[in-house]
Amino acid sequence: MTVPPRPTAPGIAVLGLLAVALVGAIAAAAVGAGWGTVGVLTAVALLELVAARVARLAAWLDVTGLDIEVRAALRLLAVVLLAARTMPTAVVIGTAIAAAGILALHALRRAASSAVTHLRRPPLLSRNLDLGDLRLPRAPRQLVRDAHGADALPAVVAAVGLATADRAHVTAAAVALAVATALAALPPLLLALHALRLHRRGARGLVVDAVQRALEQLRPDVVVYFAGTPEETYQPEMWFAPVEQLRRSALVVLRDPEVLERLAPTSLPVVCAPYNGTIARLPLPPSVPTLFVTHSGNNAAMLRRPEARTVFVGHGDSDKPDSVNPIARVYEQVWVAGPLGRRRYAEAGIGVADEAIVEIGRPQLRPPDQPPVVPTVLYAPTWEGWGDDPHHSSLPHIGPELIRDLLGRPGLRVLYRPHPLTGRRDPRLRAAHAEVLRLLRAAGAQTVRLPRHADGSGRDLLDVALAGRETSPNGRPEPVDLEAAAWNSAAPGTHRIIDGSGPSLASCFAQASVLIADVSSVISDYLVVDRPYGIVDTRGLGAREFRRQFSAAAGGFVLAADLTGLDELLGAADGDDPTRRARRRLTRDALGDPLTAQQRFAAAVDSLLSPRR
Amino acid sequence: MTPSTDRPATRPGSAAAAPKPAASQQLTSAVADRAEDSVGRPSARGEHSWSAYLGLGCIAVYAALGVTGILSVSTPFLALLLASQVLDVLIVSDDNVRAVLARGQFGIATRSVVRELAAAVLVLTDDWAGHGTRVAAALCVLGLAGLRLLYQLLLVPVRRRAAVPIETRNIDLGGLRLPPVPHPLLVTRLSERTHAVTLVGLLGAAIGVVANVPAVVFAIVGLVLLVELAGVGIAGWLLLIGSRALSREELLDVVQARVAALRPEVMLYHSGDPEATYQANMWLSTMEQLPRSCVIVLRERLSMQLLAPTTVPVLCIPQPVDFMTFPMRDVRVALYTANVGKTIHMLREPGVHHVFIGHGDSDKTASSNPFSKVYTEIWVAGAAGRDRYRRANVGIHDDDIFEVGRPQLAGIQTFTGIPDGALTVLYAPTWEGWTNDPAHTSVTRTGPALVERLVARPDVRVLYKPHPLTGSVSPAAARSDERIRATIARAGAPHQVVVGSEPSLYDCFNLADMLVGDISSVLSDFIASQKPYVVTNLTALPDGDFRAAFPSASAAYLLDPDATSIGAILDQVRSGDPLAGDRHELKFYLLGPDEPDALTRFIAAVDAAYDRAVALCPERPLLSAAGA
Repeated sequence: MTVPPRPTAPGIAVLGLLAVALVGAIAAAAVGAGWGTVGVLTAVALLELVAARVARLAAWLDVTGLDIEVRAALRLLAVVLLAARTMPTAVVIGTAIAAAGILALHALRRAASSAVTHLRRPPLLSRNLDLGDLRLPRAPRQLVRDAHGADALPAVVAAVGLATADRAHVTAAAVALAVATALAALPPLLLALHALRLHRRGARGLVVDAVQRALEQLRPDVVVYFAGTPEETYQPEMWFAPVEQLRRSALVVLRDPEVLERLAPTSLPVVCAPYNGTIARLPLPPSVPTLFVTHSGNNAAMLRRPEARTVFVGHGDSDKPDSVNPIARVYEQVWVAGPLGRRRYAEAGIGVADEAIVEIGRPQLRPPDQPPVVPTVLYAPTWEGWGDDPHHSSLPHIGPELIRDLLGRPGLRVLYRPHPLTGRRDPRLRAAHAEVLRLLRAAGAQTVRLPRHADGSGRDLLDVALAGRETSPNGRPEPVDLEAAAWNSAAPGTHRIIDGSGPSLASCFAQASVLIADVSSVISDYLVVDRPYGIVDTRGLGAREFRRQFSAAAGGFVLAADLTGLDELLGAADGDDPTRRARRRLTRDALGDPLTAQQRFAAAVDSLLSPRR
Repeated sequence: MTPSTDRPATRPGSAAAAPKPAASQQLTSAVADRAEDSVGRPSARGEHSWSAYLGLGCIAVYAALGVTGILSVSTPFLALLLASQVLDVLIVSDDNVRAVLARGQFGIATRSVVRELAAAVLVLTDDWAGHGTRVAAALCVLGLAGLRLLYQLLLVPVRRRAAVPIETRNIDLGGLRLPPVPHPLLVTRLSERTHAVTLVGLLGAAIGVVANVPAVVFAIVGLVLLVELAGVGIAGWLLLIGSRALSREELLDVVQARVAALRPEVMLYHSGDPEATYQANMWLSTMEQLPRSCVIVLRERLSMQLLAPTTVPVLCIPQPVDFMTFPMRDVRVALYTANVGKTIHMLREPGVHHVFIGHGDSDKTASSNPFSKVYTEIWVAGAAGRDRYRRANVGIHDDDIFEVGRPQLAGIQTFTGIPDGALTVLYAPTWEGWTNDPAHTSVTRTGPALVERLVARPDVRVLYKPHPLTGSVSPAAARSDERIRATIARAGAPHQVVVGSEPSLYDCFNLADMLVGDISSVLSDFIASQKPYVVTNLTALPDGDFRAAFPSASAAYLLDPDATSIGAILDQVRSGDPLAGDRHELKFYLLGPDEPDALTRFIAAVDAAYDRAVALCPERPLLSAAGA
């Protein structure tokens, strides 16, 4: 057994209160206090509702022996005890039987719910693929599948009945017990019927066959493959627009259903297959060009296909050492943005042949059409990284001070876009991030939100898969439109926070007149917009040494940890920009010609579609 | 075989009884990882017909306990209490029922609560004593449950602490404040043990109620409460010590410093299922003989438990982030045993020569996998390995393949000629296999006749070494095995049946002048000796096709399934041994030259890889420790 992670402080409080309340309910029943038992059981029911919404608590309740069935047993024990103290023997026996029945129904609901989950999660799921009409029912409501704390209700109802009745008039008790049992019976009944329908239709096999058929028809010219974690979903997403613009048959292959759940809207067909065996049997053209957006262990399943043309495209390159991972050897080609990326591989000497490297620019980025509406500073720090370098991100060093300073300048708009993984490993980053958010919210900042697939529609992945291509080829909501709408949802001067589910980096760039960031791919991507930027020198190296060590700083301002250089950077946005020439030189080195990136990307794909040299 | 989920807890590596340097302390967290209350999987095999009755009986008895408790019928309650424990003890030994009950939310934790509450209700509602006494007794019974839960709760953080992020062997960790590992008695089968402890109290209460003697109730329940209090005290004390011990990060830092002091230059990297631990074990002797400082890195705790004894420092770092932030600056050569996903956590390190050494050269899927391109070099035993990659044509450059031999076979002595006296024939058949394919082992059909004929000859000494699993699937194989043993027992000395681990297979190779075997790893290893060997052709293939299909049999004398030709084969061997040249060529093709020996070549290959790594990248960039 693995020991679950520590629950939060509110979690421990709820756990304690729940334990006390359960003991209290039994005690109240033991002394025969009818309405007292009802009151305490109501409190238990409310605490259950809270507990169901506190993260990590369920695992801890299980470890301590107070798991969901034990708690149900304790609640019903209080009811039976109450009956034993206040009712004639026949009612006591009836209550005991009803209690046992309710417990059994709870267990049945869990069994039926896991059957439904199993049946609704075939090993191959899709999105935007026409699966035909498989005549499968829609997902049952969440409350039916997982009580979310509502399963304490039958005990309360039963207790109310017992408290209302007395030894002479037991009708109320009988009615309440019947109602309680019926309440407990409803969810398992609905779930069992649903599971039965799915089972009769052979849902899992049906969906897998339909997806396989659709894939055979699709015959993609290019595959985008992603086997990373849900937090890294942005990595495949950044390739959607360039691949859509290829106007070729394309497919996105995912491995984790949670990634599929989080995935942003796209017109590209998507399949999700958690098992290596399913990947090996996907009906793809044998030599289909396959673009890998990150190095992960599960890439191996796709790399095993002997004839596939494999390319590492990554998710933005930078001076970070992980941009030249020796694992890149395993791919047939490595696509980088510009000559800088090529040199990086050559200098690292990790065995990636120069012929294997292709410069394609950053096709997901293009120079914006219009200047920003209001003077805007975008602060986009990176995260702590997998290493232990305390200077990986500037956030814990200058984040709060920088934001305080910027907010103090009238007429200036602040956009804060931390790396989606910020604070995942280091509590200092979490603290600085929280402080920045507090400052911004106090200044009226709003979070920019994009609509997502899973939003409250109650549909599960199978429902989405069965819906097939959701929009007509022409009526697809362009991501850009969604992003524009998201930006326009607040007054132009409003400070904004952009989290991992917010608009793309490119659309943030278009909004900004100045960028402040760390040594990361954000800088090289920002070069596309050709506007001034600053990098924070938290190590205190000094501008000259900093530029020597980090090539991305060559075309920008170096901000000291005490924010020296900030005034010059902001001044450059007004037109007098001494870094322009150096920046354009760096842009050509890092990205090539930003205007031709999409063409170069398309040409690189085309070259793989012709037979292997 | 599945690894037991209930191995006894051992402090630092004593299970493996590794030869270890003095003052070496080792880190394990077997206790925290062990699954004494794991659910387990209902397995297809080993199911007893009475399993279903056991489960149903258990549910019925517990339901009856509740009913008798509520209805205050104390004598049946007492009987049911005893019955419940009998059933629980039976269930502990039946993984299948245990798993089904746990899945059905009626696991041991639920049963404990049901039993304790039923007893509390009985004590409260039966009219065995005055009202006040009853309430007090019921509270004491509830106290039994409460203290039991508290004890389990306190042990959660203790066990989390004991689950150290890194396990070690052969690394001196003296003088460190390590988190306390609770005594096995405190944590093994925790739920079952506490279940039984409270039972004593419940029995006391029930007896007291039946006999209407409050003193019995309070004496026995009180005694158990005291025991539980002691347990809670110990758990609390362990928690206190644990909070003063090295934290997770501190421990990682300290171990890192100690490992850095060893300056390991070569790493054997292994990840995989517990069943795959042999892939690491087969390289241990080679690693021990490398002149450079070595470290073995494992990624799964179960592999750590199953790793054979070794003198090489071993680290087990299960979490990817812990591993990726654990710098070993001096490592320049990483040797990989298998193509598994977790290799990428090491493969990402630049400045290191990443070498695939695999786990036996005949593994065909590994050699045709395009993923192998990820390694800097691929080491094979002989030209045969190189040819396999060439034929697979998956983009591996010929220059990246190096032939290093199989140093594991170093203990096998090479052929010096047929002796004039008695000929020692080793019969080492494989077993019938899970599928019981008749062409898999010769033991069933050929074995008895073969051994009869061999012992009948005056110039032959028979060594019979059956596979340990012989007869475990097929009764016919078991019968044949018994017949062979009987034949040898009848014939007496010097014929011999070899069982157990001593003498080892390689010792038998060295004792023997020739082998009769089946297509198996025994054969491929025996080829290293270049001694004559005989393979039974149990297939329907003509001999020529058989040799072509199984290259390891290409230099073998082929025996018919009824062993009629064994005499002719022995005469052939005695008079000229016509296949000696073929065997020499086969060995050269599979395993490379005899001189220099494989270990020397392997050591030279490691040195060369180390030098190439340093030459390519004089300063190894460290991803994992940019900051101090």
